[in-house]
Amino acid sequence: MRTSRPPVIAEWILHRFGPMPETEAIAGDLIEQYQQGRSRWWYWREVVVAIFRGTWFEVRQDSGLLLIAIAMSWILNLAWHSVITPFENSLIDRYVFGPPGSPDIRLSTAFATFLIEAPLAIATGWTAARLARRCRIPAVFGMAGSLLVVGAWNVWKNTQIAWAADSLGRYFTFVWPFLLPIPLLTVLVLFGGGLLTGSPKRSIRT
Amino acid sequence: MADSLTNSELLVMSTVLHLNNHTYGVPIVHELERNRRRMSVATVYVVLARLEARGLVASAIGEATSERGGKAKRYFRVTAKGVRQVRTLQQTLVQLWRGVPQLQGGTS
Repeated sequence: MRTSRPPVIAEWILHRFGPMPETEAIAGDLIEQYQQGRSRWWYWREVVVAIFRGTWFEVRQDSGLLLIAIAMSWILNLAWHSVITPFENSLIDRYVFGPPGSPDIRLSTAFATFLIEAPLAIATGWTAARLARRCRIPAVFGMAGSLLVVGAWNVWKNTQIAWAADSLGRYFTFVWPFLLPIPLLTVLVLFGGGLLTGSPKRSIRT
Repeated sequence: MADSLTNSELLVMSTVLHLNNHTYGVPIVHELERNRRRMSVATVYVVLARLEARGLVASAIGEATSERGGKAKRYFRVTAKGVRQVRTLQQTLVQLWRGVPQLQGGTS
């Protein structure tokens, strides 16, 4: 019998995103089999399957609730943008674009955008989690994923001129400061939804 | 159809019954593997959760041991309603298979 611990990161991922309250029993079964000689690769594969199977089960059980939660979070997001965007633009024009002839301002713009949109990202994740308590993890992941796609699409749409005019390498050199806030804001959606802090609550029981 | 059983549901219920109708995840997975049926631990639990929601299986929290990292086992048993479902399906399958030459004596 083996005495070493199973992969720590895989254990953390299972406890964070696993199908609670089954997580305890599943984690125990995985440790027991790992101690009996199963490989690390096997352990990792089982953790990935547990998360996907648990999430898919919840999506199927509560698909209506899930869609409502994501739709409401998007409404909040769009409402916020309709109110805050003009203010945000004037703020960036005034303080970031600042004095004429200033150095490259793309990174400062990205930083300002991140600071202004961070509370919205947290509120969006929180809303999705509160509205879909029974399927919190798929709701928050769904919201974060759709924000990621829409954010990347917006950057792509607004920088097509640079894309058309230049090589791929130069395009990314130009565009990366605009892309940078998107994954950071996505992480904040997960944070707001409680997936990165505290004790996750989910259930595949009905 | 709500009352029908899928392949995986029938396999898991039959395995639980085979293991004296009182067992947890690890023996179920091992028994399935012994019968050349690979199923992940999580898949077994999802199937059991589905069956429990339909009242075909019941579960109870068991003891926590050090070899499991102090995590409790969840024991499962097939309920009377579940046994009836398996038996009905068994009778149907046996009726259908009776007299089918392709299913007589051998694996070909």
